[in-house]
Amino acid sequence: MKITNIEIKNFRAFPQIYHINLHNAGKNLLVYGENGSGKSSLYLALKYFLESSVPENSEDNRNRAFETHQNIFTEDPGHIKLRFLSEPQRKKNTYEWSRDVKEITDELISETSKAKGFLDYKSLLETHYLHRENETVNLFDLLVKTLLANTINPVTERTLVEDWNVIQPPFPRRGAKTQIAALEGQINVFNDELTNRLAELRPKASEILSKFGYKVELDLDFQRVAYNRDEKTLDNREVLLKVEFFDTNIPSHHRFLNEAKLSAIAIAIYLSSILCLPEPKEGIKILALDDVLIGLDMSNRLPVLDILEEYFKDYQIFLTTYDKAWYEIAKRRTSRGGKWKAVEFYFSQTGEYEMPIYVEDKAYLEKAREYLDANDYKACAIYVRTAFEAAIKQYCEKKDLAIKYRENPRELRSEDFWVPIKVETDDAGLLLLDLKVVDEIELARKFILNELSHATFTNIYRKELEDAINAVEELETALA
Amino acid sequence: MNKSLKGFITYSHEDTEAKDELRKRLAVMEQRSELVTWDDGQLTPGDKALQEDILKKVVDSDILLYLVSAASLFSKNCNKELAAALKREIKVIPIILEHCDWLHHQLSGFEVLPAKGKPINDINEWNPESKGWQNVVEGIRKAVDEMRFQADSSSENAQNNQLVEWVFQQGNFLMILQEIDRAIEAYSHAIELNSDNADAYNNRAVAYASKGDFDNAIKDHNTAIKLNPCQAGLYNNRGATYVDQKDFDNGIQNYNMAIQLDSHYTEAYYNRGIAYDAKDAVDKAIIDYGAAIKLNPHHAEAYNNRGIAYGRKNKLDNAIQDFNMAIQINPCHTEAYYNRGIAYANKNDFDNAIADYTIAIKLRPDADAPYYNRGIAYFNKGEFNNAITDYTAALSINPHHASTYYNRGNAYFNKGEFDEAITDYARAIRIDPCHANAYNNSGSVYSGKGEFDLAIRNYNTAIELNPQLDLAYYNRGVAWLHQREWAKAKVDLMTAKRIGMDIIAAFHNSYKDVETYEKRYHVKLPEDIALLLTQRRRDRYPKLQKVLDADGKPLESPNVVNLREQLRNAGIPLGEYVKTKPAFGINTTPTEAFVVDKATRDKLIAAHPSSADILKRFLYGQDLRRWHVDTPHQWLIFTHRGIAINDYPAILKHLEKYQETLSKRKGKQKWYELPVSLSDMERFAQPKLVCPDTYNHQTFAVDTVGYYYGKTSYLIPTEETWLCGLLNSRTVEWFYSQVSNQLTIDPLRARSGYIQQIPIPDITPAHKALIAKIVDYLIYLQQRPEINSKDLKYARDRIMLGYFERVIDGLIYEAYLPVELHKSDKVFLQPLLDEGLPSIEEIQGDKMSAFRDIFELLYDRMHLVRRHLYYLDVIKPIRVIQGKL
Repeated sequence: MKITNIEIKNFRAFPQIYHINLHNAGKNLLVYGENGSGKSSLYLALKYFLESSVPENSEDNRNRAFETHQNIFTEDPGHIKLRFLSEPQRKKNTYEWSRDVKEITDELISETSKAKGFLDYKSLLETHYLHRENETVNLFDLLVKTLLANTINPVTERTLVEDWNVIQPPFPRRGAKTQIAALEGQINVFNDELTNRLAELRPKASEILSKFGYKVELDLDFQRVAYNRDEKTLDNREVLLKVEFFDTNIPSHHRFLNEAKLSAIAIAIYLSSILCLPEPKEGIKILALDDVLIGLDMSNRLPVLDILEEYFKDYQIFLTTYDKAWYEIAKRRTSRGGKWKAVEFYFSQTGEYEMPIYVEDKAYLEKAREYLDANDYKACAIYVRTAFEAAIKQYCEKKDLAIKYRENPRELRSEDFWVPIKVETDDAGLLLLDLKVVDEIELARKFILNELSHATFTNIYRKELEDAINAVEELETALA
Repeated sequence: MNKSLKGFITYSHEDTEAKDELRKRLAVMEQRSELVTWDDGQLTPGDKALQEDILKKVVDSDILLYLVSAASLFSKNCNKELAAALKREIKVIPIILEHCDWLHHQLSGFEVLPAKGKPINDINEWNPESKGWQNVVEGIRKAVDEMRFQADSSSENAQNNQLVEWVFQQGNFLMILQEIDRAIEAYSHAIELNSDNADAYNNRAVAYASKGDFDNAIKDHNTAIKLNPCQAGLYNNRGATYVDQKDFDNGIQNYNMAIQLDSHYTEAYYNRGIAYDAKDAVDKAIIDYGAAIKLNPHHAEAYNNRGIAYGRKNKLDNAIQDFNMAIQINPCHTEAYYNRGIAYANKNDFDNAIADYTIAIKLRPDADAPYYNRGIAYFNKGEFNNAITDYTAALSINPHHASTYYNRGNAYFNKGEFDEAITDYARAIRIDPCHANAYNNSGSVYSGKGEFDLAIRNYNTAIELNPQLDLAYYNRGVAWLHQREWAKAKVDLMTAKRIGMDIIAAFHNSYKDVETYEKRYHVKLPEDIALLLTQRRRDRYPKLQKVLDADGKPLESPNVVNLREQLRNAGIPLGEYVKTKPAFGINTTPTEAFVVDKATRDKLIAAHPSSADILKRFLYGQDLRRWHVDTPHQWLIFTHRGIAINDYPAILKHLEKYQETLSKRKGKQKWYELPVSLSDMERFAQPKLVCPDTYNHQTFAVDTVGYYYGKTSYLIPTEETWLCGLLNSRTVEWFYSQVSNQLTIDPLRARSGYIQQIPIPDITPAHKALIAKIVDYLIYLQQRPEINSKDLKYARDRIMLGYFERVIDGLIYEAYLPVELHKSDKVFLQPLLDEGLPSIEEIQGDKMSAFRDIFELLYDRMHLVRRHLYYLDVIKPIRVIQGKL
């Protein structure tokens, strides 16, 4: 079973109806989105939709009311509708989650929810605050409260974080023997479960980590949480991360365990925990990663695509990012085989409200003209800029032009691509671009093609937009 | 059909001769009343042959016979007559008199006479001419016959339709008369006459449903909807049938369809509201009732139901407003008055409540509930005589309501008429033997009379029935005070306090304070008890909050109630299933006399070998764990009643040390005897399941050795070890905590009456054998050092034990809820049977490593057992049992 269509209406960032067609193949989805453009809203739409099928008495319950997520610019009640195609019977079913349909009662959807993997960048931010002592890092909180929080203990049939919450204060008073014994029993249950969980996922996690290019054996050292009867505290809340290298040339651990690598380790652990889940009915498995690769170097991001291809072949994957450069690369990599679809979200202010702009094809200039005709200058400018960036990046990639090195690829600017193109020569040694085109583009860049344009738009004039569109069009022709 | 057809002859006056010839030749048909012809020649001379009158004749006729000649084709009048006939779709038969250009006239479109359009005056064709005419007459006769036949059959059709409609209406009429079977017959007849009659199917479905024949009802609903998939009403009715069946989800789905098809369908909203209400989705219900009200502002029932829903949410003002509206719309709406009364009562506005109950009583004098509730309202106002009158009235209508007796007892009690009160409590208990409050209050009456022994016995029963009844502990504690049993008093008072009762306030109510009490009863309370009953600062315990309905029972969600009933009906009670009656262990007080350690035991045997015969390995309930009973290292001196004590000199000597304490015991036994008989020996010696009397989770173990147990254990004599798997399952734990009305946050207590109610599902021997097999695994594992250590090296072994328990849970779910599990493809029995698991005796070599292999096999993420266990909670009742809903 796969998702073939997604319809989101008046949900969070989406003030209207948005429809994403994943076709009968149930394609994977690669999403580029500017901040505030609805990228994360899409991620949450899928997440809450699935979770509404497993109603529970839990803290998360408030997320389970659609009203909480109603788009603020409209009163009109929204919904999320997903259409699923079930493989053997080729039957399509549409399910809805909305204010009126609070709970999806289909068991298949509940099963999908229990088999899903959803990880977002916020979860990984914690890797930046991990306490580092000498050569070890304590992953306890990250594991228990985030990465493995929702894994289910096969004995208690509760999640790990629920098992953890059971053993939280208030603790019994000193001398209350039965209560203390009961508490210690529950702590043992937790210890056993965490030990077992780590043992189960370690081989896969190491394997995945090695795909990142880190030839290491992952060692997660958990000694057991113990109740201190005198102090009434839980001691030894530690899962110490140790990495052992296969190579003989061992760099110091301290240098090895930078944020990027911790990020990779966290992703490897999470993905391996998903791979340990029992197989669901009709094999419907969904993996959504919301911007989780931002902490990685570009060189470590590409392996993620290989990992997904190798280990998550039978999953339907939703991958989002706000890094345009990475998006373009990932899009090229995934364009073969027809398993993926790439879409883009831009942020725009139209009339009274903010809205995401959704692009499925590359006819940016065409769209820009449409918005110009509709007098939506803001949206028009965004599309011209996108067209410009797409044109120069594509050219640089095609010609393998040397691009200024930036430590963080996220900081790559259009400048970095544009400068080498300006001085590019053809086979005869002549400048590739007509100076007139260069001048026009330079002029347009000041006002419109500027990176920060979406934050600083104040006065845009129609004439300037028209000029910019024409300039980019000429540039496209020249670079073609 | 006897009516003759009317024929109109159109002709040019130049052809009058031919016209007359035709009329003459049609005379026979005229005589036989088949066809009557008319032409303008019948107008008497002098009549003004008005064109209009002639045309009226044309319009009135069934057939137009057009005599075709050059002259008639030319004639304006003839053409007008033809046009009028065509306009009315009157059958036109052209009769060709001579060669002329009719083929280019619009007449060419009709079947003409004589045959093939050969003109009558064509000598070559018709010789003599009469042959031609005869051909014409035969043609006309054929046409007339056809027309007459058609008219006949169309009227037959109409008659059939009329009959269907009549039969159908008869069905409806019979429904009104509640003659359901005859109504079904009528609808079936209607369906027989016309198998496409969706309405008949629909109504028959409703009839079946009202008989409780849901299968046929749903079948008919489905047919009706198939015949007419766009009629909202059909969905609405199917929804109602599902709801009658308590299948609320399907009901709601159907109402959804109905509403989708017709967004102004008041009843569908109203019905959906009722379904949501029943599902406990009160907010949704309120929205739907609101929608119904918006569509029909005179919908008294919707107001009434919404009022009830608001009441459930404790929004009493909203509730009252709605009842007001219902009453305004229908001033005879008994329920609305009654419900408004309850709402007022819940607001402690008893005067208004009484006023409303009074109207309800006037409107429906044969219902006991309004009397009962008015009684409660009077009681709360302190008008006990009025209350008693009302309770008595309620009882004369319904003498089987325990709570009415109980409440009347309370009214008598408050009036100081204790004997009447006791009688009423006894009646309440006779109807409901589990009425803890009635026992408690009986106790209070006896306490008031100073008969503390009797009082305490009543409190004991009350507490046994409801261990959370703080008032009973308090009352018993106070009774012990009067008996000067300080230790017992203290335990009870502290228990009452722990459960949440403000015992200081209660004591203050009855006796003002400790000093006053002591003066009045000439007694000095021990210091610790005095302290317990004295007001101190910062000595407040949170009270348990319970939502209670009018009868004082906690409100429960239908998910819970339905599942509980479903489980209860899933098998025969344990008490009937096992042959020997389950019971508690032995009261061994004073234990220092009867229970001895190994050293003492050895000494006793050394002193005299006969001692060995009555020294039995012995343990207490609190020493029990799940599955396996560890060999106890204490012994019980089993001196049953009637024992020849002199045969056991060493024992006698031992007991003599405690003779003074032993003699103080109550009961019929001699001082050296236990309060048991010889037959109890058999009870302990046989295989049995045992559990402690208080536990956090079901803790049954299998005892095949025949140990002896103290009174804090509960024993179920049986050889069927699979029952141990059943009793330790989550399903039974949930069911037991439900029926025994115990809050799961506190430890559960074994209560014989309720344990014996546990339903034992009727499952196949293979199913039982499989469970027993895994129970054996667990008994073995429970004894292993790996399992009993805390070493994380063996964490997976302990996961194994827990996992095997869950596998048994799976088999038990399948035993109790086979339909639900199979519907969701989550089965355990077959995949486990397929694995051919070995019994513990069949395992050769290292058992532990064999178990690890079995575990790894069943725990694999692709194994059906693992997958089904992991995704099992997508099934609603399972979520309820697992406490996730």
